[in-house]
Amino acid sequence: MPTIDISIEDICRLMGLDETLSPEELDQKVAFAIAEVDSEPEGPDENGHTKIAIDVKTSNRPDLWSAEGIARLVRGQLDQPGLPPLDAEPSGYEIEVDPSLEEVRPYIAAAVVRGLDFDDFLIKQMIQIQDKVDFSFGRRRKRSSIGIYNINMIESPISYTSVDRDFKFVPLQFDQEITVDEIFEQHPKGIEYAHILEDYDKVPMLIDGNDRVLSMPPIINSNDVGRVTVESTDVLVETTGTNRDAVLVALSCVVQALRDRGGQVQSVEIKYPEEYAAENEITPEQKLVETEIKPAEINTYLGTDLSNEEIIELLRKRRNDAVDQGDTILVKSPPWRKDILHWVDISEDIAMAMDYNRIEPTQANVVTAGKVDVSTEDENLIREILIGMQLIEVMDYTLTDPEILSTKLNREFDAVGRVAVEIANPVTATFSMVRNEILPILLSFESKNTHVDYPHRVFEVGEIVSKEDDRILTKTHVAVLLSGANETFETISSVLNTLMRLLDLDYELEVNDLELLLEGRRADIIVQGVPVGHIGEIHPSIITNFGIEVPMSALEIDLTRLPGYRFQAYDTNLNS
Amino acid sequence: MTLQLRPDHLAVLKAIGSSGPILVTELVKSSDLNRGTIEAAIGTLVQDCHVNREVNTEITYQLTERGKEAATDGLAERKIIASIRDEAVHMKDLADQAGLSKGDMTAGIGILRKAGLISINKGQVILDKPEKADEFSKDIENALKALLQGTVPEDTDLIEQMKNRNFIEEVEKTNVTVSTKLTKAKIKKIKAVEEVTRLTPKMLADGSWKDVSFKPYSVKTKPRVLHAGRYQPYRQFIEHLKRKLIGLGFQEMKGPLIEQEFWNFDALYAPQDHSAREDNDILLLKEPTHGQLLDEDYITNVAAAHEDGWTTGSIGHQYKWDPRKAARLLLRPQGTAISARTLADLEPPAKYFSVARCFRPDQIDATHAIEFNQTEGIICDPDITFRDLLGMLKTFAVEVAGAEEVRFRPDYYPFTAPSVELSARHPVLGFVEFGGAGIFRPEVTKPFGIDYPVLAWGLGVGRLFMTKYEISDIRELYSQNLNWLRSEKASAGMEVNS
Repeated sequence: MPTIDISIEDICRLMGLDETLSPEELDQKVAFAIAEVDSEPEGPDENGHTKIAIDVKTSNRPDLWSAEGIARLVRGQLDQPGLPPLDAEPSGYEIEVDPSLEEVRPYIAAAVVRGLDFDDFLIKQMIQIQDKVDFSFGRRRKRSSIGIYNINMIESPISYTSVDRDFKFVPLQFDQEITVDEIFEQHPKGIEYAHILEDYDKVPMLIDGNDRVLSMPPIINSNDVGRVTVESTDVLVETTGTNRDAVLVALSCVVQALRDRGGQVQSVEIKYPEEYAAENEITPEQKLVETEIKPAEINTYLGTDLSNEEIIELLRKRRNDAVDQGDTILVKSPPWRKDILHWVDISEDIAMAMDYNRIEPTQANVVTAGKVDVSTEDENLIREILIGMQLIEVMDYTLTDPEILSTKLNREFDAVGRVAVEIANPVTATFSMVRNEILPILLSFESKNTHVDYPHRVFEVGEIVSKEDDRILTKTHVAVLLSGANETFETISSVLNTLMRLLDLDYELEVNDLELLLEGRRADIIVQGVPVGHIGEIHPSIITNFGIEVPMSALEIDLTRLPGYRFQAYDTNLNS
Repeated sequence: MTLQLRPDHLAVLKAIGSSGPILVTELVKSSDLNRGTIEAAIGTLVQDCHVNREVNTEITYQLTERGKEAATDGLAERKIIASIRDEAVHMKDLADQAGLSKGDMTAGIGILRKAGLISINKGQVILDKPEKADEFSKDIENALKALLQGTVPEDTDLIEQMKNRNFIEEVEKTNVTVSTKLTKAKIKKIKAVEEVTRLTPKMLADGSWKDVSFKPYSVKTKPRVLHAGRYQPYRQFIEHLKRKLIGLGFQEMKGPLIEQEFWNFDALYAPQDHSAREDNDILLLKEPTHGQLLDEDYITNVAAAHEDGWTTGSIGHQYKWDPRKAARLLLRPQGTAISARTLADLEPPAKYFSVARCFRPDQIDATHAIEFNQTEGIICDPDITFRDLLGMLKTFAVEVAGAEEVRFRPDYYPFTAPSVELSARHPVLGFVEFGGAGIFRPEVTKPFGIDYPVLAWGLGVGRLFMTKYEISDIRELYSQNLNWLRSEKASAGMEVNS
């Protein structure tokens, strides 16, 4: 999920290595943490750091979204198997939670870390953890958010409460007190995150024992209290949010990283109101995640033959602990392993610890008959017939510009919007509608090839989406477009005739009034009394709309309407 | 061997044969045929070595404008002589009488004076030596008249004089002389045969083709372009890919381009607040925004699996599942939605694949696209294991990408555990990411009544195609370039060769 910037020298030190690895060697190491190197190295800079980007692929292991977290896991297979240190003496700090927060932002966790040696590099690393975890795991701070404070001058008990919107304090980087509402209007972070709290009359506030505002979670810290600088040695880390597990995991991402940096972790007591929480909590969480697995089941699942001892050793490499119980093994994982939902997650830890490249692959004997879908066979038949008429196949985008389906065809957009799917949040207008027919797309194709010698005889067999009554249908159409001085109704009619003859389909043409086509030279194609498509000369004004200067004739058929052929309309709301 | 020539070419050859070496200009004069025919004939005869052609240039003279005037009107000095022959004329009247301009009269007087033929006394111009005067400049006059007829004088003095007086100018004249070595006897033996450009049905019907000769074509001339009907190369590449997958026993599955979040996310156990389900990671519909969930047991089962794990043995995602969120519509972002739909009706053993058009919001540039294909599928069998998955992936790398070495890495998908990334070794590029796979979590399969492992895999074949066709811009896959579609060389299969 996120990409993080790390220093190669720093992560090697965190991994307990004597030398600095090359980017390729580093890539091999971080694979163990489900990550990969994602950039060229830059540097080293004047502080001896070579910067490199790491792409961490998990969305459920925020503990691995930092150099500290990756190193912690990698060390499990180097010199630190088993559970990482989790101990935390009580700090003496308490946080009292007001019941009014139940509807707004009910959960909070906190810890104190002492004896740290901050420099700019470490501060930046902590800010990066905060940013990445807040953004991806915390769902842009709504689900969880992290605050870090210099604990000097912060007194217990801290009050996690809610205040009215006219409450005033000095937000970070401002020099005057302003109200909460003003912060939402004026402060950059206020503007960015106001939506999280916009539905509430009262907003969360963290205030210390001396009535000093620490922050307005999840928006902004105060300017006057708790700034972390290179002089700081002791910090308070808190997380708040709407999901209890997320809040606890987010806290551990920062706290465990600070512990790996030499800090001493102390716990904080969270005093929840009776109204909504069962019990008080001591955070950071120390309760291990326990999963009972059956070695026989794991071995069957993976296709391995591991002994209990081997399984336990592998689990320890992934920073778990495990107790042999004979037919079962009780696996104990760090508290932040809330990604473990089922024993298959443990089997994944075991397999990853084995190193996938050391597992001998096997060839299962699953005997099945291979075949294309029957509609693919029919599609290929039609393609072959059209190639045989010296037509050239086009495979164009399904997404298109609304203008191509409307104004360029002299059609009102509203009418088109009723039958064609429009994207609510397109990247660009050029690809903001799903085609409900292919000919306009071929016209657009032709408009880009006016410099290529004529005649052009092209076709496409492809998917369209059409809204019909209340159904959204994905269907296959064929469209043929002939462009050139000698292309007329007659020439396209010959193509249709040959196509239908070789498909063994009798058809009739009946004059229609389709405005795409020129009056007097346009018709519906009827098979067994059912209109399946249309044929004719493209109207000159439409040819001109596309900036083309040769006559064009065309046909388009909805293949799902051909009797005897196996095309199917896929209804989004059904599953056939 | 009887030589045959077209009748007009033979006539020209005969003329050259009887005349001996002759200037082409002379030949044209003396012949009935027009100049063009003769020159064309000579061209062919020379090419076929029946006739020799010699070209030489010579310096010759032609009249200037002034010379032409002098030739037609007469020389100034002779006009003056004629005027004053019988009687002296005054200078002021001489121009008119002689029919000369003042300038010409002055020039003429100058010439006559220099030659000592006249004298001027009190303005009167008197002819002193009449007999000599009669012959004076007559040679120039004659030469001028002859030049009008095209005859060039040979007297170099005369030429010099005329040049000095600007009556003539030097020109280069090219003379082409043709001759033949063929004897008259040989020439007599040559048959005149009609030459035609085309064999016609009539000639075949009446046998007259035997009596004509066929104009030779220059076989080296570039022919007119013929545009063949062509398959779209990327489309055909996908057909070859399908053939390979069929060869491994996979059956194709298809599905709708517009999906419900249920099939794309919920059935695949992505929690409803997963970041990949956020509005900036998927393309949503303006209208309708939501679809309708089916009235099936599996919907309820999936809901329960999300909330508390249901009977899957999982602790679940532990939140309240919202059916309305699951009913939201989007453009299909992953082919795995089709696999999810297929789970609803699965009988082992089964191996399925699909090549699906997918859509995601992304920047549009040489390496990123909003619209792209995904190739993926599932394998289900009661006895299948993770090692079998690694084996299948290795087979894919060998059979589909033609790679001999593979590498596996840990990976993550919300719907599989364990998850693995597959890389294959490319002869030039080294290890390149080729696909991802895993075993579907029981939270995915159990709600559909499936109690055995289902392996899920995906391959990135777009890159294979781009390597094979040496394309570096992903926008060329759905090519808008008719020239490329017409002329990109045909390729039999998927092999990315040298």
